[in-house]
Amino acid sequence: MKMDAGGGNHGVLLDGIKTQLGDISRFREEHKIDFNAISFKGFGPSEDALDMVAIDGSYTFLLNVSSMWLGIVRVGALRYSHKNDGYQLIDSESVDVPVMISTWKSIVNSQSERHQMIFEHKGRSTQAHKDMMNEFRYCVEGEIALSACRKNKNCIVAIDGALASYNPDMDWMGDVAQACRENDNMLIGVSKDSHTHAFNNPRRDEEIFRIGNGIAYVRVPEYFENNHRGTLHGAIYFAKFHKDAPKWFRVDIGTFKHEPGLVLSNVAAYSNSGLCLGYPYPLLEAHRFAVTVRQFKNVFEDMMFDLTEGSGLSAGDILEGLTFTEGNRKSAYHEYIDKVSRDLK
Amino acid sequence: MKAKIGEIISASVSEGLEAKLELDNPEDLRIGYPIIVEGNSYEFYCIVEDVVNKNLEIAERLAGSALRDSIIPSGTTHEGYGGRIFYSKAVLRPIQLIDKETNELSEAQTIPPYFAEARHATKDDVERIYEVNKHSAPVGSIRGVEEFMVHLDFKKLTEKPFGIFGRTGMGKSILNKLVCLGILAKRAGSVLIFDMHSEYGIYSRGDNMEGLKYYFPERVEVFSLDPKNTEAKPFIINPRDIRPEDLIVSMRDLTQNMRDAIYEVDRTRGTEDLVRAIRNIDPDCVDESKIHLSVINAVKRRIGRLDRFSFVRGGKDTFKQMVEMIRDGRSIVLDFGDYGTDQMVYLFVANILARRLFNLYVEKSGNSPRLVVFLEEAHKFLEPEIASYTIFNRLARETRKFNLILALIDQRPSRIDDEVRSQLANRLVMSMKEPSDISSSLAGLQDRSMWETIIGTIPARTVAVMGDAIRIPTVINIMEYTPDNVRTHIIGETDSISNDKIDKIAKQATTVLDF
Repeated sequence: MKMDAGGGNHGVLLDGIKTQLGDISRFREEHKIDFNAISFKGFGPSEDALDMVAIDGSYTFLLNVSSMWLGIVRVGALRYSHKNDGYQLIDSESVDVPVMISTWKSIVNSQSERHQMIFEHKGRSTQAHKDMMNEFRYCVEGEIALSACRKNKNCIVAIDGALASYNPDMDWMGDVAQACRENDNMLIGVSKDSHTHAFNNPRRDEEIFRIGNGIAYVRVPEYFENNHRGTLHGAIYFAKFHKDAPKWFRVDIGTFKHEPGLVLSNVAAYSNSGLCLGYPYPLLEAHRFAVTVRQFKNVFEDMMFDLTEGSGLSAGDILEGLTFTEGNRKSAYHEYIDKVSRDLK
Repeated sequence: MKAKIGEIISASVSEGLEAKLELDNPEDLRIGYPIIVEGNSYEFYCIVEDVVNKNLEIAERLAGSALRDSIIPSGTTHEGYGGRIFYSKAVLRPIQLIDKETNELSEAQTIPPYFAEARHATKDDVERIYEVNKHSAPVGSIRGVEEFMVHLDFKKLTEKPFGIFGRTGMGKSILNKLVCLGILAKRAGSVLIFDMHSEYGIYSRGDNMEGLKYYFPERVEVFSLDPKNTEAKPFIINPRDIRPEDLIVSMRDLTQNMRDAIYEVDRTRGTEDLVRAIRNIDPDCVDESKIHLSVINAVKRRIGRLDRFSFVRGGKDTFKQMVEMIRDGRSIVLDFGDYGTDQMVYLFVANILARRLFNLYVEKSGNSPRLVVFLEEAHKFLEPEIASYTIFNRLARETRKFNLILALIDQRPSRIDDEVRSQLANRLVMSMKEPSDISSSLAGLQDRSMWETIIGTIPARTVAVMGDAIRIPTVINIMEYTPDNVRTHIIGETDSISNDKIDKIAKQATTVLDF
């Protein structure tokens, strides 16, 4: 068929689109949702919620020289209490860790065991430097999470993401869960991604839950947990923490697994901020804190220039190797081409 | 208590400072409040120029939304990793630097570092700024600080012309009284008040508040144009002393031809006084090449207005009597009585008195005691189109070297001639709304835009004082006008008068003095 979107085949095009839309509708209807298999449970926010410690991390790349990248990982653990209709920050812990990674095997072989494990695990992807730095971020988060779980008692410990580890050699989740059990902490992992198919339906989980109303949670079918990729350290639920919330979140419950109503009602108490309705406010704030590492990029760059003396690298090396946040070199030729293209617009 | 309000997040010598506020409620901070910013070497004494809630996308999204059972973010509900998520900012204007080691003051020529703490000024802070000396007394307390009376140096205030500006109902009369009392209490000079509403004598006719003579019975003399006021000395204007300018200034409906006619009559009147000369013009003898007959008739009709003025008559020269009293260190309140509602009388009398005082003081060339002439509705004498007919223009510009000082009181400073306004060494500016008046009252001032904002927003009974009578420009809450306040803060205990003395004055007041 000759493609002519604005011309003579217009009617044919419309018919084609209409047919495809009809197919989409028909296929979806053929896959009925088995609501008998989905057990929604209602709950409400706790009026006497435990404190919540929210943990999140981020990173920024600074330098790329000779297949080596230097970046900074920032992780924060913010402890909040929920009192007097507000969220009060009562304690915090944070670290900035400089991390050098390489995608060049002989260099990695001279680095630490952790570097080598991460390289083995992530070093062959097309964006290896990003994947590897992200693994380091995950490791630092684990260290801070473990510290927070040991320091705080009788709290909710909320981690951004699933309570799952994908590399058994770097699985700190088990230690964190154990520390939480010892200190009566409720461990949860909150994932923003609910585009999964836990209920074996072409509809995404998000589409299925949209049908429900009010504050509710639902546990995923057993097979979904059993077939979960990596090592899972909790029971998987989906929860809507506020009746006007636009979204359900996957919540992995690592401790108090058999009391989901208790755990989730505590979490719901932190999820009624107008800023992020249905999402725990402390996690939002932990995320906001973590990504500030990118705002400080210029400061870290200045530090590098100050420290060149005696490092063996010249200021010119640093200048040449400066990167954008995601690790692409500022002086790379394609960046120049991109800039010229933008300027010519 | 040194109450922190926030930290500095931006700074510029020319643009001022910006503080991120940590206050639960931005309403706790107001324009004009004094703030101290703690630098490393200096304390920056600042004034709040503005309080700002920045435009936030999230706020726009939340505003008006029907979120039920949720916590709407505010300054107190959402604490973030770096403090409050929703916070206000204050724009601060550094006014003075205080050296932390030496306590010396200097101009604000530098900025504090990032994150310097900003806090409310305390009494200790302001005590280091404001000078108290034997010539100073307060007219009120500083805004935004625990009770602290700000002193004005009345000696400096009365060395040069000054202005008191503000719209009606803002407390100008109270401020005038306090300033007059300060001048008298600190013996900075004598005052001459044209008392249109009978407020400044012993008691105010309107609200029975105490006047100048109540506090200084032996140093204040009250004259009255109104024969019904038997408690005051009568005030008389001899028609001999009337000049063409007095008529032109007071009668605003004279055409240029009429003005020319009056000058022509004055030139040819011989020994006859001007009023009589106008009245006695024989229509048959008028040289119509110089004055048109219809113009003469119109002038005559207008001159007829003077017939109502019982104080325009022959008799003892009250002016000489006044001058002797001023020489003796006494102040004069000229009560207008029932004439107080007649603008023409005020303009007429004030112009005659001011001209004679000017001539006298210039003649004595600085050997006369200092006299401050309070001129209400000053613009009526100093509007560009009329200023050339009055003596006030020269009075403002020239007479400080002769000890005759003009105090302009007005609600329309924009209508006062620029050149006169520029002579004002001190300005006491109260609330005004008309932008041109605000701008004119602050002409030539450093940081004028900041002060324009302040003047446009300050409440009644508040005054911004700027000039050499006060160390730094300051917003002052005018003190309540009570005998206790006046005696305690202005007169001082040693000068306060006893009840016996007040009784004695009251008895004396019933005696009619005949001059």
